[in-house]
Amino acid sequence: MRLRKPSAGAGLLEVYMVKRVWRTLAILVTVVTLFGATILAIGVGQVSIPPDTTAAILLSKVPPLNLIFNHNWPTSYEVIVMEIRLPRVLLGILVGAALASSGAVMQGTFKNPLADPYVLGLAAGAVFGASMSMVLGLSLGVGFARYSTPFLAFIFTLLTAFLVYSIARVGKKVPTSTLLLAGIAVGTFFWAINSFIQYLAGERLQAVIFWIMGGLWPASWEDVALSAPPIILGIALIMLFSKHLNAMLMGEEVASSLGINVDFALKALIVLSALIVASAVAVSGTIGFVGLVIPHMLRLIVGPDHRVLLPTSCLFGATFLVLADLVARLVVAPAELPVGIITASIGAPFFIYLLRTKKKAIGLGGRLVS
Amino acid sequence: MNKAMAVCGALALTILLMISVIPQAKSTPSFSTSSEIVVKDWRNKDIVLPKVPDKIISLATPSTIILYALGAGDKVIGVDKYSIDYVKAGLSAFKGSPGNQSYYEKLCEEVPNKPNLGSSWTPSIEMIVNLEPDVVFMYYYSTTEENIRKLEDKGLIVIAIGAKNFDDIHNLIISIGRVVDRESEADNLIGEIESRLGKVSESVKDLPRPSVYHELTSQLATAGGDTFTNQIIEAAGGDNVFKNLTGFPVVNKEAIINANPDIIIFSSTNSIAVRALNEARDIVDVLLEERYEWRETNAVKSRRVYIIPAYYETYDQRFVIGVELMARWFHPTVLGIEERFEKPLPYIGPGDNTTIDIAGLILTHITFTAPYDKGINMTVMSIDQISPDVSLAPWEATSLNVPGFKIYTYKYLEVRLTPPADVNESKLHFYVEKSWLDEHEINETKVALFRWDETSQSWDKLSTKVVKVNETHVFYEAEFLGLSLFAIACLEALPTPPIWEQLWIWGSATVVMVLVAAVVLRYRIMKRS
Repeated sequence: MRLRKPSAGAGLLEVYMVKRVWRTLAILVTVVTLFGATILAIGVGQVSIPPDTTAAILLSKVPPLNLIFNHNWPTSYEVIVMEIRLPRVLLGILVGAALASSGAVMQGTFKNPLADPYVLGLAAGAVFGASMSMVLGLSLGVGFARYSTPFLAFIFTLLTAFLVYSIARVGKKVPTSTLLLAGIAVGTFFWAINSFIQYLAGERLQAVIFWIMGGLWPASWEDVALSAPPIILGIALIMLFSKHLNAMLMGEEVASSLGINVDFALKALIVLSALIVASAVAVSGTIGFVGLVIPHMLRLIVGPDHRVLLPTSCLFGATFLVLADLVARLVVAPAELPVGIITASIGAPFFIYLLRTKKKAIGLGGRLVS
Repeated sequence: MNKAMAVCGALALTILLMISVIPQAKSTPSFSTSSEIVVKDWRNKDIVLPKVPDKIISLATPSTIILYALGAGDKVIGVDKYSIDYVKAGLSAFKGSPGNQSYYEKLCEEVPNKPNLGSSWTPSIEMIVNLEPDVVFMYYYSTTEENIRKLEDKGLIVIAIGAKNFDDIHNLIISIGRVVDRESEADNLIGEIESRLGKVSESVKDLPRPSVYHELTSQLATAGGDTFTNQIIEAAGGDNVFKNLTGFPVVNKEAIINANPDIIIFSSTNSIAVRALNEARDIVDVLLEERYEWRETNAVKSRRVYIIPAYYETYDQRFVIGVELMARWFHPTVLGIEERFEKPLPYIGPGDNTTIDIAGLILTHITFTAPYDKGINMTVMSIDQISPDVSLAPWEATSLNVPGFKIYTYKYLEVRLTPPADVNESKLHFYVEKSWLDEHEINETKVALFRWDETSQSWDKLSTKVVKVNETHVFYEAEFLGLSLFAIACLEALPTPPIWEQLWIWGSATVVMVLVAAVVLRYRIMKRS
């Protein structure tokens, strides 16, 4: 991982970076895949609605086109497409994108292949917030009661991140190894409290367990509206740090020699990542696996250059979650499976296949410094 | 060194000896087979009890409740934490249960103070062994099997219990009755359960079954066809839309909208129901706020969305109340219910009162006063407006009838709280159409509210006064104590019939004539002789 001469680093970096054409192509391909998956997931569901009706329902909502359609479909179809499937698919895109990009960022900053979006103990914090509302009945009060669980989950995720960050901070620096350990310690502590709350939960235990498994079933337009701004903004800002992440992989010395402020980048990335993870978790619970494995898959396919890795992870994470959710909806119809089961059972074999065929040691900067 | 070793060896030997003696002392067989009780438990294992047990531990809520319901509460020396939690919900959770109400009072009074011995999943074995019970009741699941074995290894007699349907609950009641030697109580309890179920099934058997979606948790977990909950829905004359699934599956939103249920039932522990109860708002409004996309379902459109207390669907005799409650929701017209109003009550502190506005019925509002010792909390109020022409048999009441009076019944009303709660002096504001008064030529001041008194099996007239009169309606206010079936009616003393239509006149006339004839005859005979 370490290079002898800092000056050589810059050169190597340039050589192994993916060319602009390929970058654009890779991103284009993932965009097209996501688009296809979105169309599929809106068109297919437990209730079979003819594709032309689905298309007509969707197009009739677009202002200039709505004049040419006469509403000759049952209202229930419109409700299903517009108020159940569409928000659910959009939420899947947002959550998948948030988890996968956060996973890529965490693996990059911690230079640890096991890092995932929840590495700072965020899952435990989120579950703590959610169970406070679900089991102990903490509520935002009349009028806002239904936002209690997402709100508390969001707040406690951010609080956990802040707590871990403050514990790990040494002067002005935040050593990544301390951060990782602090995350584990705080997470373990919160899990202990969570287990205790679950012990007390009684009849509400099932609600908590479902929340921990995560899922997109509760999706509504409100969830989309609440989570979209922080997630989109957060991901957009994270993209700006792709060069910093590349440099950080080369080690701090190289990075500083390239004139990159590693400390600032690290802090900004942790804050942004915590923000998007908190937003995603608030609306969907702690969905596992997406954030861990999608960045690795993309690293095996497109290489470790964060300028291409981040956008492709983000887009493919979205695609993957949307498709996994589609399977979760269909496989035991009219019942439904928790999406975490699908993400893991489809994702893991595919990941193993990639590991075997690519025959490359899985690392974070593998291709950068060979 | 040697000495120390010798001491150690002696100690070790003593301990070994003691250990080998203890099990022998314990396993002294009793030869008295005369009073032996044998029951089959849920594992299909024959459990042999040497005598009627005096000390019972119940690590399952159904067995705790049944033991008390059979009057064997005194023998219970320890319970599980769930029994304590359930009973803490208060006596209201047992009102209207089959069996003797005083036993349930005892249950609610005593169980919270019994030793808490964990649960069937996490029993505190030390404490259980220390209490030296004659028998332990435990839930039987794959997850409790190991704990049952552990207790049996300690030489305790464990009866594993479980239930999947109504018959299993009957069997459970019978076998607990045999264990505690209270078989006649058990028979009575089962008799009451069966007669109540029979009444419901008789009244719903030929009716079209409305489709029902029963949501247990807000994660859209519902009850499949092989569950106890499904059996309750069917017994009440409903048709579970997800009866083709098994267990308690989590279903898809699309599938629910596609199934388009006529009726939606929420468990009281479901977060939507909890919100409605906490905020004292109509469950349909809360549902629409949380899931606007359900607005097109039949149930929401016709506002047939209900909350059922979760304990009416557990494995004990209270399931009967669940069946009766659902039957009213599924088949209101067969019972003669014209209109229905249902809304969760806000919290009413002890001695406080609250007024609920009512729409759609012949009531304008109702004021409840909570008893001085206990507030009213997390309760759904429901009012059924019943046609005056129906039989009141389902309510176990007789029609309003007072000899010597002509009765004009306007409407019957049933005011209920679920779970039941006592109320203090409360007020009912109702109105009567003038056209009805005119039709029967009734003076508006003669209309009164009557209350069915269950204990005396009669109708009591309540103090009623006219508060307002407008062009079309007359408005009244009436005071009442305690909820029950009410009647709005007018009693009119029957006019005395004309003198020649009254029997006693003819009777006395006949008597007088006979007497006169007798005297005359006698006089004639005397005169002749």
